[in-house]
Amino acid sequence: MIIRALINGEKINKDVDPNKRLLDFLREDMRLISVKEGCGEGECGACTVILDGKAVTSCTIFTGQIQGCEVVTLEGLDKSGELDKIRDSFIKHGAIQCGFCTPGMILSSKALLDKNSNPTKEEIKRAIEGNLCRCTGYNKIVEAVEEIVDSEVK
Amino acid sequence: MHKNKFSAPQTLKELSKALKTKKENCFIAAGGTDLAVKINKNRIFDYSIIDITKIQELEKIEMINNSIIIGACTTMQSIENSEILKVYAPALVKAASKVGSTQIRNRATIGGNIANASQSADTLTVLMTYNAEVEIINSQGKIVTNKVNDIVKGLEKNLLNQDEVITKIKFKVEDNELSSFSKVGARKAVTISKINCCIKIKINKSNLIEKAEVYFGAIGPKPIKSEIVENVLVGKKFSKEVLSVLLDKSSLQVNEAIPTRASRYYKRIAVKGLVDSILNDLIEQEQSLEGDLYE
Ligand code: FES
Ligand code: FES
Repeated sequence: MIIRALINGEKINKDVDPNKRLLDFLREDMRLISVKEGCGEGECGACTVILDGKAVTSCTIFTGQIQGCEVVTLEGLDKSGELDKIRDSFIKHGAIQCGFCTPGMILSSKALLDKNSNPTKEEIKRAIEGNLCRCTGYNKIVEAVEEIVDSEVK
Repeated sequence: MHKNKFSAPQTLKELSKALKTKKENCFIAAGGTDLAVKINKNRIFDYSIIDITKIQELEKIEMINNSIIIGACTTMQSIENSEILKVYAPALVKAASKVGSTQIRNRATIGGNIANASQSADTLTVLMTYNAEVEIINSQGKIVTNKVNDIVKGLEKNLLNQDEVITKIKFKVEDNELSSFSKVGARKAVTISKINCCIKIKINKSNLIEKAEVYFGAIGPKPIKSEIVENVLVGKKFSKEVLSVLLDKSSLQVNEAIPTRASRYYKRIAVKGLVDSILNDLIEQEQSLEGDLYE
């Protein structure tokens, strides 16, 4: 099936297996390997991408369902330069250790910030509650996101 | 051989047409949060999909007279943010807000929650408390209405025919109704600890509970109605005083529902926390309602 979609700002027009998980399509066909597979069950958030402005788990979506939609992965943020500030803040706060959860964490945070430029700590926590991290203990991640908020508000 | 067919009808008419050829291993996909996992887990390789998320009319929430009508593809996130539902069905808003995670709430749909009939589907408990109905369309384009209770078998089984799809969810609301929902056990991996509860009451001018509807979820294959608890509520004055008897009866109800399951010890106690938080919520709602009630 021909899929037309906007992926990281680029129009694609590709013959793909529509029944494949979006996760597999992004990794295998699009080579966007920042998208990680953790649980494959919608529980860990490692595969999070932004679909039409909303954070979603790409392991629970069929590729055919993105017809006409817009998808953003970490590579997209990198390309548009939006990643720099977030990455710096994550590094500064020690919010990255093994890094496996990081792409998903950043995309969940980004989806929140796009809608709400001044979220409370609770709102940040809620936005990333679907992203599991075995390393950092979450506090550092919340702090990193808070700093992005502060620097944006200033 | 399905050869991985995928179709995405945009109207109900197109949907009926697509349903004409639906057979085994052809799945209806809404948000995909349960389906994609099921297909992957069960190693199903030869299947086709009918994606119903492109049918726009299935995403509406509206109120006509005293009826709330919710399109089957409405996501948990939309339910959580619906102004109509915040006022008229607070328990449903609460249940939607507690589903999974942000990512899951952005995709999971209310129709999917019903069709999947998972033992711990949170919105089911609320919908059954509201005695909700579903509208179902078939391959002939015929629409029938059924009670949610009659469609859900539980343990991930529904009683829909092969060529049927839920399109709308409908229930009636009344003035001066209060409702709330509470649950424990968030992760799929820890189903054993799950239990949820929905209470809906109507109070009259002299602050007496006129009607009560109570359902418990995850202590049976599907939510169960608790007459034991309803009976202690009806006729009582609505205040914090009903709490102690409410707690005891809820515990009793859990005991009756799962007398032998190992989780009963835990759930007998957990249920008290649920009911306590529901009552607090109802009292809060009542206070904000009081204005209109007594003026
Ligand atoms: S891999 Fe998708 S949520 Fe874990
Ligand atoms: S940094 Fe290792 S899982 Fe989060």
